Amino acid sequence: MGRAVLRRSVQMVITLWLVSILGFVIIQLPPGDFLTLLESQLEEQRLSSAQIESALTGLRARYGLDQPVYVQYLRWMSSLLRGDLGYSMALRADVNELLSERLVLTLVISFAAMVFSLALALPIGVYSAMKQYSWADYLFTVLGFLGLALPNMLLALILIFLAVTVFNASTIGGLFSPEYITADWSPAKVLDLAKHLWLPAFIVGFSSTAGTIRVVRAQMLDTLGEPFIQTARMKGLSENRVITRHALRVALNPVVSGLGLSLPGLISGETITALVLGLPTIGPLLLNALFAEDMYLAGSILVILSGALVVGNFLADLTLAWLDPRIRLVEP
Amino acid sequence: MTVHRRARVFSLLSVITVFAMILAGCGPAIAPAPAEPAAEPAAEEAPAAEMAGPEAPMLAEMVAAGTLPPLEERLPADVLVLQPEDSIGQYGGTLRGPHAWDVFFEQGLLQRLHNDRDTFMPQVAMGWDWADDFTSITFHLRAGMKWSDGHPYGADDILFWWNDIVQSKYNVQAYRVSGMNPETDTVVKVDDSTVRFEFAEPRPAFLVSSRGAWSYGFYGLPAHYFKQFHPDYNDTAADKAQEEFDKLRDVLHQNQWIVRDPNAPTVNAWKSVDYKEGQYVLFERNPYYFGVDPEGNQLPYIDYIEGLDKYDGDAELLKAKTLAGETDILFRVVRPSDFPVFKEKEEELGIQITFFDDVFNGRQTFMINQNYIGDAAISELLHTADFRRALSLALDRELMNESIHLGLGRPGHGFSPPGVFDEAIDGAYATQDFDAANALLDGIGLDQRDSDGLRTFPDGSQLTITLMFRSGWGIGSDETAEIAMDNWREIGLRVAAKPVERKLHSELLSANDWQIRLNPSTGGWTGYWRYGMALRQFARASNDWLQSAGEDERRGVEPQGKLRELADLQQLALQSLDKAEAQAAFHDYRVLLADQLFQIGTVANSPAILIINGKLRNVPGQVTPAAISQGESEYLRFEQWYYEQ
Repeated sequence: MGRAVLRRSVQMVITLWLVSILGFVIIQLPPGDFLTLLESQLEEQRLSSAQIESALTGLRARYGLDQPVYVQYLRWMSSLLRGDLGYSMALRADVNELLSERLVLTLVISFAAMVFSLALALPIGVYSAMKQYSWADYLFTVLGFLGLALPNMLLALILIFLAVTVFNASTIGGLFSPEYITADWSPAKVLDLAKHLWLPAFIVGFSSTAGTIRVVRAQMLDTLGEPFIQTARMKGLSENRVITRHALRVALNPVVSGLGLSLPGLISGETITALVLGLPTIGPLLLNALFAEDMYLAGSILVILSGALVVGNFLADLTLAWLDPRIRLVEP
Repeated sequence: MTVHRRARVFSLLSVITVFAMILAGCGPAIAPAPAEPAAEPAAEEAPAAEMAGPEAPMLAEMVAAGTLPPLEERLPADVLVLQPEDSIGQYGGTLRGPHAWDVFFEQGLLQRLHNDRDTFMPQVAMGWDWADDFTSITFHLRAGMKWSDGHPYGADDILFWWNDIVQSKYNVQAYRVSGMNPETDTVVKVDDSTVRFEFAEPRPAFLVSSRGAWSYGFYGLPAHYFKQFHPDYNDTAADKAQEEFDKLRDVLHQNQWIVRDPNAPTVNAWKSVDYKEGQYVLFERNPYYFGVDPEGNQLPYIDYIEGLDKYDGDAELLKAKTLAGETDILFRVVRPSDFPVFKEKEEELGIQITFFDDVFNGRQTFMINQNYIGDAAISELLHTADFRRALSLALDRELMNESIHLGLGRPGHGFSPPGVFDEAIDGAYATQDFDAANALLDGIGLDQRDSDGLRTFPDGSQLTITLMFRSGWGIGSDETAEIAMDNWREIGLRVAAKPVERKLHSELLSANDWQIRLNPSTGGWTGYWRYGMALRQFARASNDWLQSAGEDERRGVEPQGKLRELADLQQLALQSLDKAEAQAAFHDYRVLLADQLFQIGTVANSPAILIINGKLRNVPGQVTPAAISQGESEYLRFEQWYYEQ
């Protein structure tokens, strides 16, 4: 077990390193760089070409854009290893400062979405499997397909519309009430966050809920037909115990390994939702950074997101091993 | 059986529990809308509705408590007396909305544009004198004026900006100095409250180009505050000096320090007291603001400006927030197609919908490239006046007006200033007439048609024009392109759509590698009568040629024929020292443009929509018509807005 963990850790580091190279290259792929964009802006402001050139030369040297790409990468990487995520050229601020709280809120939303999604999907999936082809099963199936088909962005817009027209909501979007946005963290602020969190969590979690319901239902149907379930029932166990301890536990495997895989979906879903709902997370920041070719900001965000994904996968594997003795005992 | 029932109960219960949890979560957030959408702090802080003291109650309290000097000591000897738009106001309230940046951008300029968008009124400067030949301008500052922390404001602050930032040996980045050339022009201190800007060549347009949101720094910087960050004034090690200066420059970048650094003093009517990047900004009244109303009441009337910062906040969300009563002001993102939604809720929300003459947004205009570098035969067509006239004659502008602008605009080119429609200019070749268009095309040798019934070149080869546009740029870009392509097909022209994203657009533009494109502003009038002569919009290389007049080797392409005439008129209008001559040249420019149609307008005078809290008063446009444009809001004069209580 220990060796497996170690091996996975090394793999994780290598994966992250490859991702950082890939991310850096992808950001460089579109023609031009941050300064090309700045140049056209300066031109629109009617600066003379000599003024523009002197401005760009200075900035190019300052941000190291006059160096070859691999030197730029090495500079960025070496500061990344020291915990310095670089400097945002467009926002003129340290990436560390820009990211810290937004990253936490992004993870909070993704985690809340995951919890929400599981809390809803497990019971519904189990119920659907036990009452296969009942009207409730059909209803959940329809809801499930709807959830899979409806893009987050559209769902967010529909909910905003409903909130305004039907529920007469007095506050729309955001994660905090205005009085708490700049306040220090306190129980009241956490409560305020909780009040705002349900909407993005619902939107982000909706599609994965639908997917999970389908998986749980199918797995339960498979498991319920197995001989060991019959055995359990013959032993005189209560149906509750049969379902929770015997059937569900086995049916959970694909759900748990799916969780690790669903992380990127949750985070990208969060990005889109954040744009529509105006959430202070990394989504809007990433989009703007990509538009502006603000490569240190965009690159750092990509590496952090990938890091979250890789770690998430790792945790999912550990959980799986903990849940299922067959996986735990096989030493690869 | 019992087992089964219990299982069912278990499953159902868990489902119900989860739903209940969700509903419980919904509860607090979907509270009923407050019956009173007006700003909350107003109610507590200014109960005396008819109060007309010389200063805001919140400041009077501080004076009484001894934490603030009395008003006489805070105001300069020469105050700015600001005529209210409509009436003397009442103190109090919070202006909530996504436009906090507009409020601060309009503030703190040496001079401010009047509503006529032609003349200027004093602002931070009391007045100014031009040298006869426009090679220098002398600004007179207000004696005894103070920064928002009570420190005296004066010529030294402007000198600090010019000498220690713009001209600093550390400054490797261009400082945006509108209308000045940092290499040849100078700033001279005459005395503590007099400053002279000296130019290497006449700059008659200096007041225009140095005004508004773009005039970063003309009124100076709080030297006493920023010196602590400047390597020349603190004991920074030599090897850290450049880094230190770069950081300071970043803080000053686009004047964002006014918002982002709540410690930095300002001369604006409001000062930032709370800020969170990308999310939130709160401004509080500046107790040292130098403006008063005609009765001597210190401005501003409104206590707080609370806003979203600019990054997070999708247009649809901002509209929804307005519909939920969360904002007191919304413009720029409101489209004509949104009008019915707001109109329906007007009374319920207590909002007021105001129309402005739109300077920027509403005018999708086709630009016909006069410097196209591709196919010579197509370039020849783009150079042919009758071809451009035929394009214009084919357009169904009525349909564009109805479908995109809800009929609020007027079909035409929109070359004239907002609010003006000159039939001879804006209506030239602007009424749909397929016969006339066909005759023009036949007349220039495009009378051959292929098997699809579409026109070919005289030698029978296929003729395809591409129309480039940035999807979603400005109001109705995609719809306009679609209608136009249908119309042009009617007169036998095969036009291919080429939607591009922003960056490619900008690259094709600088390479002159496009044929016809759609631009959301005409360039016909972007804020001032001298401006808007936008040769570069349809003849970029020729404009480069004009711009590089003084350089050793001229860039670009020398304009010929009618384009040259137009270019000469533009230069005359921009450079003439005689205003009457310049204005006449600008008029002739528009007449010639309407005849030659290097750019073809679609719908003119579609209004900009401003949605405000119905209790707000003194908003320009409420009583008298006003114009509004993106990035310029100085004439909105927020400091004399007030809430009627």
